[in-house]
Amino acid sequence: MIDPQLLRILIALVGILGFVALNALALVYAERKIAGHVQRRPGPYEVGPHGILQPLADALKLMGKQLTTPRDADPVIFWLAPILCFMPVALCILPIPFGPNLIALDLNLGMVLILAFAGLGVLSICLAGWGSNNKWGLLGAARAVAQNVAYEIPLLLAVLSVAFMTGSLNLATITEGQGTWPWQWNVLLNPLGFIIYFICALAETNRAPFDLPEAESELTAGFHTEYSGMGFGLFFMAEYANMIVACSVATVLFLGGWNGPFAPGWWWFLLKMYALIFLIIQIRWTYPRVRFDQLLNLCWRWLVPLALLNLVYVTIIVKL
Amino acid sequence: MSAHFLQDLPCLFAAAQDPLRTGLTFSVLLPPDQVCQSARLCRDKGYHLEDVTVSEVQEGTLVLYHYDHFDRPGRICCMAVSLDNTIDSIAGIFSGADWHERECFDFFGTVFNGHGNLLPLLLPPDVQTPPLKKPEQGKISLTTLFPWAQAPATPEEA
Amino acid sequence: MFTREQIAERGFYTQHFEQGKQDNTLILNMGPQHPSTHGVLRVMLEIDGEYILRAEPVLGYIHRMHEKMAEGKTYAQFITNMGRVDYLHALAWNWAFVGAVEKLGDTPPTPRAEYLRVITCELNRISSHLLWWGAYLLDLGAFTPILYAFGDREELLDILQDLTGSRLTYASFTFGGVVADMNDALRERITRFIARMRDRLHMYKSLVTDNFILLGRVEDIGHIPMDMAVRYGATGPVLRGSGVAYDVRRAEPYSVYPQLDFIVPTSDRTDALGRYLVRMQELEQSLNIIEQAVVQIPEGEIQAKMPKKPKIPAGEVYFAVEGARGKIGCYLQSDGGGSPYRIKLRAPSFSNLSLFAELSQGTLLADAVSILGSLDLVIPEIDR
Repeated sequence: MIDPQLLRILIALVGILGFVALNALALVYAERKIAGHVQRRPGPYEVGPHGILQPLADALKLMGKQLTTPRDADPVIFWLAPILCFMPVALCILPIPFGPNLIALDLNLGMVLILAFAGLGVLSICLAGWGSNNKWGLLGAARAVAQNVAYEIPLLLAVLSVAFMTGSLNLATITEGQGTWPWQWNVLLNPLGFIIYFICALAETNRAPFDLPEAESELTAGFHTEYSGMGFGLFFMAEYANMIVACSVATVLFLGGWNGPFAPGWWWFLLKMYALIFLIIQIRWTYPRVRFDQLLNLCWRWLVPLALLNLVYVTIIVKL
Repeated sequence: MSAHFLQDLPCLFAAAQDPLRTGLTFSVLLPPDQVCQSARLCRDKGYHLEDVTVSEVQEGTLVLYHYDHFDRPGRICCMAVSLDNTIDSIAGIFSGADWHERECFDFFGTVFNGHGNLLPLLLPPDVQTPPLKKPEQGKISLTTLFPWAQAPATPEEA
Repeated sequence: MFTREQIAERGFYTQHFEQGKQDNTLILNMGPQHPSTHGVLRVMLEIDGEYILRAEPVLGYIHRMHEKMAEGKTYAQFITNMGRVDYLHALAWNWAFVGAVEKLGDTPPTPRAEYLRVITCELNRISSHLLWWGAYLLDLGAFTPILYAFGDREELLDILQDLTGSRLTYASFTFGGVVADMNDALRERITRFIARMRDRLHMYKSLVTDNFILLGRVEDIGHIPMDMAVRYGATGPVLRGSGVAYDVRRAEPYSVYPQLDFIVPTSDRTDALGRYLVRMQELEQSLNIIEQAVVQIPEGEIQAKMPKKPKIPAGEVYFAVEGARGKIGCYLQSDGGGSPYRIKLRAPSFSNLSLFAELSQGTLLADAVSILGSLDLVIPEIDR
């Protein structure tokens, strides 16, 4: 007999992979359309009505491309990195409650699982930069490690502040702890925590203005300089999957999850998640990139102390 | 016109020019060993280096230095004729001359003594003949170029 | 100093750089295909972490030997070459060469042609600065401004197309005049463009210039003290960003610039922000110049009477104009024949880039990109 729990996880994983892949396609389209409209041009327009099939065409193109390994690169590490980049993200979606009963793995330590697997992402970037035997890639990898390690601290502190408030690391419990109406959500009780979390999420997902590991005007393409075809495609998908994870967690922790006025359910969850993703995309096409020392200064000088202060504030709230 | 500060040098020819006709206010032909001294004088007077360039004339390699001033308009041209295609470098006095001299080395093969890094700048390193060198019969004389230098002495005699 | 044989022995730049490397540093080859070197500039960098220990630009990837070409062409044939030297401010180069020949041959253009030259040259300067603005922000990681700049530039290029006949490599100045006249419809379009551009400049200021992330990337980056700018012969916005109010249009007036009212913007900041602000103000000043010129322009011929084959007397001439990047000089020697005896093109970017090696020492890689962008380089102009 197969363990029903295992079966459930397997089915959920397949579903999640499909969800992530479809979402990546949709988000690529959304990103390019939003970018287009921010920049006063129509964006993709040729493939299908309003260019809606463009990401599909891109995906086919990426899959059809030859996979090349650069000379002197370490082939094992080089090809392990994109796979390692994508898989943990899929696992991160397991414990997220999309709806009252729509949760693949109801874990008491769901938040810890997400943070643990999210930490693996930086390892894959590091391997990609190291394995491709390219100086730009190496610089990108070094940047990624420094950036991700630094920003994990305020991120954890912001998550911890919510855990203090709810007294649980179970994402379903955290969702249920927040009420139907927006003023009952954690974002209003703990606004600073939300802002810190959001900034850190931008940095952790390497999105502009914190996209230093792949800053193309400085490092050509950073850690994925040498990747082509699906190697690049997997990094690309992982970036969007990371965005989904980061925004889903933000929705659960701060925006009440699937709670919402009138008809609570997964649609509320998706609405909030996509609103956050939209904001991230909008930021990318608006702001210049920060410099590396500015990035780290922001973290150590502002976010970490503020996150600590926020913890004190939250403990006082909880006590009252 | 009052005496020009460059006239204190042992120059071969010197003449004030009409800026409306040539774009220069003063031209001076110096002996090759006075090039650095003239550059120093120009630097002390607040001039900046516009360019260093070379032209081939019958008398030898004509090296031209154009200086200009920010406050008072007036471009001056210091020239020297080198017989063996070598001349002193002024890169130590005007850092900007570094690349200009390397460019002249590229185009004419002119060697600048004391230049620390006389590598090809614009051309590949394996070019055999400098491209702007002229055949002997194609060269013109200094006096055709500079009618004001109608003096008895040619640089060799001086 | 090395002979060509010694150079072949020592190897070229790469090896020269590798030999002098320290154990814990990295030699990085930025370019000639790097997104932020805008063309085919190559910069060798020795870096320790992300700090630059030394940098050395390597030139010559787009060298075409214009100076040699001039010696084999007639004066009129060489005009089209000038549009290819600096493709962003082609008309200034056009003007430098045409002006030099006119000065030597003593054949001044007609008054109306002088004004038309000023108008087209300033429009071209605006298009050059707009492109620099967009590309610089792209270097700093802001994607959107370049598309806004291109929107304005599109309208401007349409005007220039009708005014000169081309959109990029202009060659509309001839000896003694220009090739095409401006009609009332074009004048109307130019006036409308000026009004639109002023509006847009306001928007750019509030949208981009005042952005705190941008300020963080350009403030106190790449200080060029005045004496350093003078030592390297830097001109244009690079020099004016170091506080020297030097502009060829004012210092050595040519054409009708003395009759036009404009100021020479400077900044005492000496950093990348100073150069940025100077260029943004120059956009406004160019608009002012065009606005006055389209009103003051006299009626008359656009081409002076010239013999079919202009006779250029023997002699020398130096003619300088103010390009978007600085002083463009054309030194011409003539032996009285049909083609130039020797022509020297003084490119402003050449001198401006030569200070990069000293300027970038000890800066971060990201700052070097910012500095490189703030110098506003056009590589074909450097390599010629």
